[in-house]
Amino acid sequence: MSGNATKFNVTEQLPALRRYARALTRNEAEADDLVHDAVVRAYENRASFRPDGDLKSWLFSILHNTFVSGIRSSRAHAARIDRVADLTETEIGPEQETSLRLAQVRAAFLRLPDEQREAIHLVAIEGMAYGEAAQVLGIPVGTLMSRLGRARTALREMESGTSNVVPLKIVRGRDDNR
Amino acid sequence: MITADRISEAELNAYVDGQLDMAGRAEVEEHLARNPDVAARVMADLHMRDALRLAFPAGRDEAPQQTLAWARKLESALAFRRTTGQLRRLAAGLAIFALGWSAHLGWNELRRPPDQDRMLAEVAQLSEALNVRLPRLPQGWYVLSARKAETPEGPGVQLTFQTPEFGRLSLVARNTRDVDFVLPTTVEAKDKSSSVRWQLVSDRYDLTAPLARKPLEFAALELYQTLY
Repeated sequence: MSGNATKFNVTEQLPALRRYARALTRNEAEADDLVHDAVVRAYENRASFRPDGDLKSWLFSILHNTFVSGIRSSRAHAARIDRVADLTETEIGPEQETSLRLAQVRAAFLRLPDEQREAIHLVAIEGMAYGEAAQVLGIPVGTLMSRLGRARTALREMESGTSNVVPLKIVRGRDDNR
Repeated sequence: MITADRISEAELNAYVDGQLDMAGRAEVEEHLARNPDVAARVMADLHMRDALRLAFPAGRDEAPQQTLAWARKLESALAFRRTTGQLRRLAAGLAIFALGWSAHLGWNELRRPPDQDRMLAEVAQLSEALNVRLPRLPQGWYVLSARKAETPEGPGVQLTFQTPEFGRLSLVARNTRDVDFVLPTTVEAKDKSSSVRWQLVSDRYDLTAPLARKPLEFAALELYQTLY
């Protein structure tokens, strides 16, 4: 007869899930709520998890779906874009804070349109394979690749300075010196 | 100058995203060696990827308590579902086994078993006092004795049963401090005698009997099935 049942380590996935939630909501408090709702939803839909399936993909899918269904009923979607400041001011760590470039990269990432930001997060930051990321987002791989391409172009433009964004001042949302 | 060759934009992006195998990477790198401006762009993309990873490290702080609690609840539920699947396959084997076995042992060898109402009341009392779930009695089984016992994990309950299929069995059950799901597993002692152990949430069980390994495992399975 077989021995111990393997633990399904959901707790271990929480940091990555919270990071993705912050990329989606661009707000710390909302991200925490989103992760909480997603975990509860995962529990309610636990029968949909195939025991031989990938726990991480399944959890990310549920998180993504929870977010998407939340957005449709939410009034404040436009307001999120103005609240980019919320996340760039979040404490991430002194070693990162002192790096100007990382602050610029973070701001540029958060300014990407939702669908590009989601795509690039899963592939570049989470390191998912195209197929896995496409499944989490519920889109064909081809669509994923074109969103990645557009995201990459936008980020390149930020780097080369051809975008008209002034990197650090944007943190407050308006230039108080004017 | 970019030479017109077979490396597409999609492949270059796939290269940056780490989606290519060794052969694919070699092909792209060869192309980059011949096209420095494309190589410069790919380098910039790779630097951007690294920067994104540095800009968003996975958080060091813990998730809120409520979320952690639900995460643990989900973990238990998933583990439990998995053992249930395996259990169904084992149960099929048990049904076939029990049919053959019951023909061997008869009741005429036994004395009359003690009053079951009293025994079951005692079982219930011990279960509550020692905070450990005890199995329901399978059809045709009798409780011979029920008493408190000392175990390595602390106080527990020892039950002995008389059964038509398996003869006399001894079960020790106790509540432990950890949570786990362990299917009935045979443990061999130094003197070569076998016992079967399993765990459900915090409750741990050991079954011993003068039986061969297979029938002992089936007896354990029968009790295990009554526990959920």
